[in-house]
Amino acid sequence: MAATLLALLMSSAARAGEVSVSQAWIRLLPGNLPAGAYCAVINNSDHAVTLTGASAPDFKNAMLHKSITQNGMDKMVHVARIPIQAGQRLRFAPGGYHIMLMPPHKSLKPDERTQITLKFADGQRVTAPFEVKGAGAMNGD
Amino acid sequence: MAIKYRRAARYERWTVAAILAFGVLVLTGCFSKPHHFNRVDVSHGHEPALKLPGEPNASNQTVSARSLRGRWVILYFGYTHCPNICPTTLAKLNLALHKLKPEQAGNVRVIFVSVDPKRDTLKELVQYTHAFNPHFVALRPDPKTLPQFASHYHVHYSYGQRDAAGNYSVGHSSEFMIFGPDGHTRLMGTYQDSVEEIASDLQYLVQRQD
Repeated sequence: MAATLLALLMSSAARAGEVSVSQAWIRLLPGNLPAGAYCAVINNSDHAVTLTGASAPDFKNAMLHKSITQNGMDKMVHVARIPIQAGQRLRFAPGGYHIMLMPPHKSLKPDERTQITLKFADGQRVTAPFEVKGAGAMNGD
Repeated sequence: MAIKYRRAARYERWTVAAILAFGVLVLTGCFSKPHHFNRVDVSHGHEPALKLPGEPNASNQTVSARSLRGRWVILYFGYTHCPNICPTTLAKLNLALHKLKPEQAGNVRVIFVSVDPKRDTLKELVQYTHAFNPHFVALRPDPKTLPQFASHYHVHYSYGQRDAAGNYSVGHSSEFMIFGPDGHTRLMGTYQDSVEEIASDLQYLVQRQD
């Protein structure tokens, strides 16, 4: 039993390091308007992982979105699964992939931090602090 | 004779040098080289001239094409519930304007037109637009006049299905249009352009008209 627990603990510790998140920030819009979250998700492991969703305690909903061009129009589509190959980095960046957050549960302010958890197909969860930026921000620097 | 010959030879050398220099200048394009814009140059096409429906804007003044004559205008259609493309475009336009001299930037008006006037109240639209730049103008067309207004600029939009909470997304043309002080279209760009590219085009255009 103890051995199983230990093995489980060790495996979860290893798994926690498989995926890391950096350059994480959200663009806050006024009122209850949806915010876009951006970051780099790095798969440090030697096998592919699949991102399947996100959750954010400060917001009611968090959804993986992508902006696409169709019939001369740009629109947002929900993305159910985003594979990240071994050693690869997935960029959530303005104009492309983003996490749509809406509506906020509490009033956030620039320079604060808000937690977002990324969910993976294998059950892995990675939580990272996202820096809150104003409407005019273009990156998390 | 010898002197004359040397003079003639020197003269020839100078002529050859001058011709070569001229050739180099032509080859390197120093003469009448058309300016290469980063954005799409639409000034010679059949793009529509600036025409606004005369709706009240941010400060409850009517914004009209006539009141904007003499200024550079950047027109962009979008909606406030857009978390990605619209804020990215407005953020880039704001950053590009900040790369211009203040007097140049002051001669450029950015107008954000809602393609979702049923959901975007004028108050929300103003709050949203001013979050990027207090000089940006919010325009909320009447839902009845929006189709005609948008089609004048070949702007397309379509509303997505409502979710359980009543939220919906709006697909829309994402180009912004740059109009000259005479109200004619000059350039078209998108959120995919870099801040530097937008700024250098604006700088070139605005400078020429100073």
